[in-house]
Amino acid sequence: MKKVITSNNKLDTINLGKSLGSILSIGDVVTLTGDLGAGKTTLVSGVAKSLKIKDTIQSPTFNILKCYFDGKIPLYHIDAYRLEEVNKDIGLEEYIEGNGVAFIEWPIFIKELLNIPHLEIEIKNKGNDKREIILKSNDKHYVEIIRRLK
Amino acid sequence: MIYLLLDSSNTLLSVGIKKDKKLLDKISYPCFQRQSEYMIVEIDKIFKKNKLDIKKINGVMVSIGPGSYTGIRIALTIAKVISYALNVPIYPISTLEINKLINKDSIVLFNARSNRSYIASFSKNKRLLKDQVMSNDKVMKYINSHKKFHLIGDLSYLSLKGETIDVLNNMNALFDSIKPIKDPNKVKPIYLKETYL
Ligand SMILES: Nc1ncnc2c1ncn2[C@@H]1O[C@H](COP(=O)(O)OP(=O)(O)OP(=O)(O)O)[C@@H](O)[C@H]1O
Ligand SMILES: [Mg+2]
Repeated sequence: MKKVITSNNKLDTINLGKSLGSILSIGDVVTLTGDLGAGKTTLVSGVAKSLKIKDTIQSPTFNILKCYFDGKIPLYHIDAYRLEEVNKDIGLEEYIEGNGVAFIEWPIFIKELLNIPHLEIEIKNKGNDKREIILKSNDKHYVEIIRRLK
Repeated sequence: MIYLLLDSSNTLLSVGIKKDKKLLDKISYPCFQRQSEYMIVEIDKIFKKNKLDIKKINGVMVSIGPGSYTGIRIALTIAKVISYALNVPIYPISTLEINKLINKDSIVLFNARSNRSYIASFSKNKRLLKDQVMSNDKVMKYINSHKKFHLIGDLSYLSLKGETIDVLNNMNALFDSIKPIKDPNKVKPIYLKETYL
Protein backbone atom coordinates (compact mmCIF):
# COMPACT_ATOMS: atom_id res chain seq x y z
CA MET A 1 0.00 0.00 0.00
CA LYS A 2 1.22 3.44 -0.91
CA LYS A 3 -0.21 6.90 -0.32
CA VAL A 4 1.10 10.26 -1.47
CA ILE A 5 0.29 13.37 0.53
CA THR A 6 1.26 16.91 -0.47
CA SER A 7 2.55 19.28 2.15
CA ASN A 8 2.53 22.94 1.22
CA ASN A 9 4.34 24.24 4.26
CA LYS A 10 5.95 23.30 7.53
CA LEU A 11 2.61 23.37 9.37
CA ASP A 12 1.12 20.78 6.97
CA THR A 13 3.98 18.44 7.79
CA ILE A 14 3.59 19.01 11.51
CA ASN A 15 -0.14 18.29 11.22
CA LEU A 16 0.51 15.05 9.34
CA GLY A 17 2.88 14.10 12.18
CA LYS A 18 0.12 14.89 14.66
CA SER A 19 -2.43 12.63 12.97
CA LEU A 20 0.15 9.89 12.66
CA GLY A 21 1.07 10.21 16.33
CA SER A 22 -2.54 9.87 17.36
CA ILE A 23 -2.91 6.44 15.72
CA LEU A 24 0.45 4.86 16.51
CA SER A 25 0.86 2.44 19.39
CA ILE A 26 3.67 0.87 21.41
CA GLY A 27 6.05 -1.16 19.25
CA ASP A 28 5.41 0.78 16.03
CA VAL A 29 8.40 1.59 13.83
CA VAL A 30 8.55 4.33 11.20
CA THR A 31 11.49 5.03 8.90
CA LEU A 32 12.02 8.48 7.39
CA THR A 33 14.00 9.03 4.23
CA GLY A 34 14.62 12.20 2.26
CA ASP A 35 17.43 14.70 1.70
CA LEU A 36 18.93 16.93 4.35
CA GLY A 37 16.31 19.49 5.26
CA ALA A 38 13.44 17.54 3.68
CA GLY A 39 11.37 17.74 6.85
CA LYS A 40 11.92 14.43 8.64
CA THR A 41 12.58 15.96 12.04
CA THR A 42 9.72 18.40 11.48
CA LEU A 43 7.33 15.47 11.01
CA VAL A 44 8.58 13.86 14.24
CA SER A 45 7.96 17.12 16.10
CA GLY A 46 4.29 16.83 15.05
CA VAL A 47 4.17 13.27 16.37
CA ALA A 48 5.63 14.48 19.66
CA LYS A 49 2.94 17.13 19.94
CA SER A 50 0.13 14.62 19.61
CA LEU A 51 1.81 12.40 22.22
CA LYS A 52 1.83 15.43 24.57
CA ILE A 53 5.60 15.49 24.83
CA LYS A 54 6.73 18.84 26.19
CA ASP A 55 10.39 18.81 25.16
CA THR A 56 11.24 20.32 21.78
CA ILE A 57 12.28 17.75 19.23
CA GLN A 58 15.77 18.39 17.93
CA SER A 59 17.61 16.37 15.34
CA PRO A 60 19.54 13.69 17.21
CA THR A 61 22.23 13.73 14.50
CA PHE A 62 24.99 14.11 17.04
CA ASN A 63 23.64 11.86 19.77
CA ILE A 64 22.10 9.27 17.37
CA LEU A 65 19.25 8.52 19.79
CA LYS A 66 16.94 10.72 21.80
CA CYS A 67 14.24 9.31 24.08
CA TYR A 68 11.20 11.21 25.24
CA PHE A 69 9.48 9.60 28.20
CA ASP A 70 7.17 12.38 29.35
CA GLY A 71 4.39 11.81 26.80
CA LYS A 72 1.48 9.36 26.51
CA ILE A 73 3.90 6.66 25.33
CA PRO A 74 7.70 6.75 24.98
CA LEU A 75 9.04 8.19 21.73
CA TYR A 76 12.42 7.08 20.41
CA HIS A 77 13.96 9.28 17.77
CA ILE A 78 16.96 7.81 15.99
CA ASP A 79 19.13 9.56 13.42
CA ALA A 80 21.51 6.98 11.96
CA TYR A 81 23.33 9.49 9.74
CA ARG A 82 26.54 9.20 11.72
CA LEU A 83 26.46 5.39 11.79
CA GLU A 84 27.70 4.97 8.22
CA GLU A 85 30.68 2.63 8.29
CA VAL A 86 31.04 2.51 12.05
CA ASN A 87 30.18 -0.16 14.59
CA LYS A 88 26.40 -0.11 14.88
CA ASP A 89 26.33 -2.51 17.77
CA ILE A 90 25.17 -0.07 20.40
CA GLY A 91 21.88 -1.65 21.45
CA LEU A 92 19.57 0.32 19.15
CA GLU A 93 17.38 -2.78 18.72
CA GLU A 94 16.15 -2.27 22.29
CA TYR A 95 14.55 0.97 21.11
CA ILE A 96 13.46 -0.18 17.66
CA GLU A 97 11.79 -3.18 19.30
CA GLY A 98 11.18 -1.28 22.49
CA ASN A 99 8.41 -0.01 24.72
CA GLY A 100 7.43 2.97 22.61
CA VAL A 101 7.20 4.23 19.04
CA ALA A 102 10.43 4.55 17.08
CA PHE A 103 11.17 7.06 14.29
CA ILE A 104 14.33 6.45 12.34
CA GLU A 105 16.01 9.02 10.08
CA TRP A 106 18.60 7.65 7.61
CA PRO A 107 17.47 4.00 8.09
CA ILE A 108 19.79 2.96 5.25
CA PHE A 109 22.68 2.98 7.71
CA ILE A 110 21.05 0.49 10.09
CA LYS A 111 19.35 -1.80 7.56
CA GLU A 112 20.39 -4.89 9.51
CA LEU A 113 18.22 -3.77 12.44
CA LEU A 114 15.12 -3.25 10.32
CA ASN A 115 14.16 -6.78 9.31
CA ILE A 116 10.82 -6.23 10.99
CA PRO A 117 7.56 -4.83 9.62
CA HIS A 118 7.56 -1.04 9.58
CA LEU A 119 6.07 2.02 7.96
CA GLU A 120 8.26 3.75 5.36
CA ILE A 121 7.91 7.49 4.85
CA GLU A 122 9.77 9.33 2.12
CA ILE A 123 9.78 13.11 1.90
CA LYS A 124 10.62 14.75 -1.44
CA ASN A 125 11.46 18.42 -1.69
CA LYS A 126 9.42 19.89 -4.54
CA GLY A 127 10.91 23.37 -4.31
CA ASN A 128 10.26 26.22 -1.87
CA ASP A 129 8.06 24.90 0.93
CA LYS A 130 6.36 22.18 -1.08
CA ARG A 131 6.95 18.55 -0.10
CA GLU A 132 5.65 15.25 -1.40
CA ILE A 133 5.23 12.79 1.45
CA ILE A 134 5.02 9.13 0.43
CA LEU A 135 3.83 6.50 2.92
CA LYS A 136 4.48 2.84 2.14
CA SER A 137 4.12 -0.57 3.77
CA ASN A 138 3.12 -4.12 2.91
CA ASP A 139 2.41 -5.08 6.49
CA LYS A 140 -1.26 -5.35 7.49
CA HIS A 141 -0.92 -3.30 10.65
CA TYR A 142 0.77 -0.39 8.86
CA VAL A 143 -1.49 -0.57 5.82
CA GLU A 144 -4.35 0.12 8.23
CA ILE A 145 -2.46 3.09 9.66
CA ILE A 146 -1.83 4.50 6.16
CA ARG A 147 -5.49 4.03 5.35
CA ARG A 148 -6.58 6.01 8.41
CA LEU A 149 -4.29 8.94 7.61
CA LYS A 150 -5.72 11.91 5.78
CA MET B 1 30.52 -6.57 56.49
CA ILE B 2 28.44 -4.32 54.22
CA TYR B 3 27.97 -4.76 50.49
CA LEU B 4 26.13 -2.77 47.85
CA LEU B 5 24.07 -4.86 45.37
CA LEU B 6 23.20 -3.40 41.95
CA ASP B 7 21.21 -4.59 38.93
CA SER B 8 20.01 -2.55 35.95
CA SER B 9 20.60 -5.10 33.23
CA ASN B 10 16.96 -5.42 32.26
CA THR B 11 13.71 -3.60 32.83
CA LEU B 12 14.21 -3.15 36.59
CA LEU B 13 16.32 -0.82 38.64
CA SER B 14 17.41 -2.69 41.78
CA VAL B 15 19.59 -1.51 44.65
CA GLY B 16 20.21 -3.49 47.84
CA ILE B 17 22.37 -3.44 50.93
CA LYS B 18 23.73 -6.72 52.22
CA LYS B 19 24.84 -6.81 55.84
CA ASP B 20 26.69 -9.99 56.75
CA LYS B 21 24.40 -12.86 55.69
CA LYS B 22 21.25 -10.77 55.42
CA LEU B 23 19.69 -8.51 52.85
CA LEU B 24 19.32 -5.45 55.05
CA ASP B 25 17.24 -3.29 52.70
CA LYS B 26 16.28 -3.13 49.03
CA ILE B 27 14.53 -1.09 46.42
CA SER B 28 13.44 -2.43 43.05
CA TYR B 29 11.06 -1.04 40.42
CA PRO B 30 10.51 -1.04 36.64
CA CYS B 31 12.64 1.65 35.06
CA PHE B 32 13.46 0.41 31.56
CA GLN B 33 15.89 2.63 29.65
CA ARG B 34 15.96 5.22 32.42
CA GLN B 35 18.11 3.57 35.09
CA SER B 36 20.93 6.04 34.40
CA GLU B 37 18.76 8.86 35.73
CA TYR B 38 17.81 7.15 38.98
CA MET B 39 20.39 4.62 40.14
CA ILE B 40 22.70 7.05 41.96
CA VAL B 41 19.68 8.72 43.57
CA GLU B 42 18.46 5.35 44.90
CA ILE B 43 21.90 4.37 46.20
CA ASP B 44 22.12 7.66 48.07
CA LYS B 45 18.60 7.27 49.48
CA ILE B 46 19.02 3.71 50.71
CA PHE B 47 22.29 4.46 52.50
CA LYS B 48 20.83 7.56 54.17
CA LYS B 49 17.68 5.70 55.18
CA ASN B 50 19.75 2.97 56.85
CA LYS B 51 22.13 5.51 58.39
CA LEU B 52 25.11 3.85 56.74
CA ASP B 53 28.15 5.44 55.14
CA ILE B 54 28.79 4.21 51.60
CA LYS B 55 32.50 4.85 52.17
CA LYS B 56 32.52 1.99 54.65
CA ILE B 57 31.28 -0.75 52.30
CA ASN B 58 33.37 -3.87 51.74
CA GLY B 59 32.45 -4.46 48.09
CA VAL B 60 29.91 -4.10 45.30
CA MET B 61 28.00 -6.99 43.77
CA VAL B 62 26.72 -6.27 40.27
CA SER B 63 25.01 -8.15 37.44
CA ILE B 64 27.05 -7.84 34.24
CA GLY B 65 24.70 -9.25 31.60
CA PRO B 66 23.72 -10.58 29.22
CA GLY B 67 20.89 -8.08 28.99
CA SER B 68 20.17 -4.56 27.81
CA TYR B 69 23.20 -3.02 26.11
CA THR B 70 23.00 0.24 28.01
CA GLY B 71 21.42 -1.25 31.12
CA ILE B 72 24.28 -3.59 31.94
CA ARG B 73 26.75 -0.74 31.51
CA ILE B 74 24.97 1.57 33.92
CA ALA B 75 25.21 -0.57 37.06
CA LEU B 76 28.63 -1.87 36.04
CA THR B 77 30.05 1.61 35.48
CA ILE B 78 28.73 2.77 38.84
CA ALA B 79 30.19 -0.37 40.47
CA LYS B 80 33.57 0.25 38.82
CA VAL B 81 33.73 3.86 39.94
CA ILE B 82 32.87 2.87 43.51
CA SER B 83 35.39 0.03 43.41
CA TYR B 84 38.08 2.37 42.13
CA ALA B 85 37.32 5.25 44.46
CA LEU B 86 36.92 3.19 47.65
CA ASN B 87 39.39 0.46 46.75
CA VAL B 88 36.86 -2.35 47.33
CA PRO B 89 36.33 -5.46 45.15
CA ILE B 90 33.55 -6.07 42.61
CA TYR B 91 31.50 -9.29 42.78
CA PRO B 92 30.31 -9.76 39.17
CA ILE B 93 27.45 -12.16 38.47
CA SER B 94 25.50 -13.25 35.38
CA THR B 95 22.16 -11.52 34.97
CA LEU B 96 20.56 -14.79 33.88
CA GLU B 97 21.84 -16.50 37.00
CA ILE B 98 20.38 -13.97 39.44
CA ASN B 99 17.02 -14.68 37.83
CA LYS B 100 17.07 -18.44 38.39
CA LEU B 101 15.02 -20.27 40.97
CA ILE B 102 17.49 -21.44 43.56
CA ASN B 103 17.40 -25.23 44.12
CA LYS B 104 14.82 -25.78 41.38
CA ASP B 105 14.85 -26.52 37.67
CA SER B 106 14.58 -23.32 35.71
CA ILE B 107 15.01 -21.80 32.27
CA VAL B 108 15.75 -18.07 32.36
CA LEU B 109 14.96 -15.99 29.28
CA PHE B 110 15.14 -12.37 28.15
CA ASN B 111 14.19 -10.86 24.81
CA ALA B 112 17.39 -10.26 22.81
CA ARG B 113 15.35 -8.77 19.92
CA SER B 114 15.57 -9.72 16.22
CA ASN B 115 13.75 -12.98 17.05
CA ARG B 116 16.34 -14.14 19.54
CA SER B 117 16.56 -14.67 23.28
CA TYR B 118 19.19 -14.69 25.94
CA ILE B 119 18.89 -18.05 27.64
CA ALA B 120 20.42 -20.08 30.46
CA SER B 121 19.11 -23.11 32.33
CA PHE B 122 19.72 -24.67 35.68
CA SER B 123 18.85 -28.00 37.28
CA LYS B 124 18.85 -27.69 41.05
CA ASN B 125 22.06 -25.76 41.38
CA LYS B 126 23.81 -27.30 38.40
CA ARG B 127 24.11 -25.24 35.26
CA LEU B 128 22.71 -26.91 32.12
CA LEU B 129 22.92 -24.23 29.43
CA LYS B 130 25.59 -21.59 29.69
CA ASP B 131 24.54 -17.98 29.03
CA GLN B 132 23.91 -17.64 25.31
CA VAL B 133 21.91 -16.04 22.50
CA MET B 134 19.46 -18.45 20.85
CA SER B 135 16.93 -18.06 18.04
CA ASN B 136 13.37 -18.08 19.32
CA ASP B 137 12.59 -21.20 17.25
CA LYS B 138 15.26 -23.11 19.12
CA VAL B 139 14.14 -21.59 22.40
CA MET B 140 10.61 -22.93 21.87
CA LYS B 141 12.01 -26.39 21.14
CA TYR B 142 14.15 -26.24 24.25
CA ILE B 143 11.18 -25.21 26.38
CA ASN B 144 9.04 -28.00 24.91
CA SER B 145 11.69 -30.59 25.69
CA HIS B 146 11.98 -29.37 29.31
CA LYS B 147 8.33 -29.29 30.27
CA LYS B 148 8.90 -29.62 34.02
CA PHE B 149 11.19 -26.59 34.20
CA HIS B 150 10.05 -23.25 35.60
CA LEU B 151 10.11 -20.48 33.00
CA ILE B 152 11.47 -17.19 34.23
CA GLY B 153 11.38 -13.72 32.72
CA ASP B 154 8.95 -11.42 30.94
CA LEU B 155 8.02 -13.80 28.16
CA SER B 156 5.20 -11.84 26.56
CA TYR B 157 7.40 -11.57 23.43
CA LEU B 158 7.08 -15.37 23.11
CA SER B 159 3.38 -15.28 24.06
CA LEU B 160 4.28 -17.24 27.19
CA LYS B 161 3.94 -16.52 30.87
CA GLY B 162 7.11 -16.47 32.94
CA GLU B 163 7.67 -16.16 36.67
CA THR B 164 9.36 -13.14 38.18
CA ILE B 165 12.16 -13.52 40.65
CA ASP B 166 13.37 -11.27 43.44
CA VAL B 167 16.83 -10.58 42.04
CA LEU B 168 18.18 -8.91 45.17
CA ASN B 169 17.24 -11.87 47.38
CA ASN B 170 18.99 -14.07 44.85
CA MET B 171 22.10 -11.91 44.72
CA ASN B 172 22.30 -12.13 48.48
CA ALA B 173 21.85 -15.91 48.38
CA LEU B 174 24.43 -16.40 45.62
CA PHE B 175 26.99 -13.98 47.04
CA ASP B 176 29.27 -16.62 48.55
CA SER B 177 29.64 -18.40 45.21
CA ILE B 178 31.14 -15.33 43.53
CA LYS B 179 34.84 -14.59 43.36
CA PRO B 180 35.68 -10.97 44.21
CA ILE B 181 37.73 -9.03 41.66
CA LYS B 182 40.02 -6.36 43.06
CA ASP B 183 40.91 -4.54 39.84
CA PRO B 184 37.79 -2.85 38.38
CA ASN B 185 39.43 -2.81 34.93
CA LYS B 186 39.22 -6.59 34.82
CA VAL B 187 35.41 -6.69 34.98
CA LYS B 188 33.78 -6.62 31.54
CA PRO B 189 30.11 -6.62 30.55
CA ILE B 190 28.75 -9.81 28.95
CA TYR B 191 26.88 -8.86 25.81
CA LEU B 192 27.19 -12.01 23.63
CA LYS B 193 25.68 -10.57 20.44
CA GLU B 194 27.77 -10.38 17.31
CA THR B 195 28.80 -7.01 15.97
CA TYR B 196 27.04 -5.89 12.83
CA LEU B 197 29.91 -4.43 10.85
N1 LIG C 1 6.45 21.60 3.83
C1 LIG C 1 7.48 21.55 4.70
N2 LIG C 1 7.58 20.51 5.56
C2 LIG C 1 8.60 20.41 6.43
N3 LIG C 1 9.58 21.33 6.54
C3 LIG C 1 9.54 22.39 5.72
C4 LIG C 1 8.49 22.55 4.78
N4 LIG C 1 8.71 23.69 4.11
C5 LIG C 1 9.84 24.20 4.61
N5 LIG C 1 10.36 23.46 5.58
C6 LIG C 1 11.63 23.73 6.30
O1 LIG C 1 12.55 22.68 5.98
C7 LIG C 1 13.35 22.37 7.08
C8 LIG C 1 13.20 20.89 7.45
O2 LIG C 1 14.14 20.57 8.44
P1 LIG C 1 14.19 19.19 9.20
O3 LIG C 1 15.17 19.34 10.29
O4 LIG C 1 12.84 18.76 9.53
O5 LIG C 1 14.81 18.27 8.03
P2 LIG C 1 15.37 16.80 8.11
O6 LIG C 1 14.75 16.06 6.99
O7 LIG C 1 15.20 16.25 9.48
O8 LIG C 1 16.92 17.01 7.81
P3 LIG C 1 18.23 16.19 8.30
O9 LIG C 1 18.48 15.10 7.32
O10 LIG C 1 19.30 17.24 8.24
O11 LIG C 1 17.99 15.72 9.69
C9 LIG C 1 12.91 23.27 8.22
O12 LIG C 1 13.77 24.40 8.26
C10 LIG C 1 11.49 23.67 7.82
O13 LIG C 1 11.13 24.95 8.30
MG1 LIG D 1 16.58 15.53 11.00
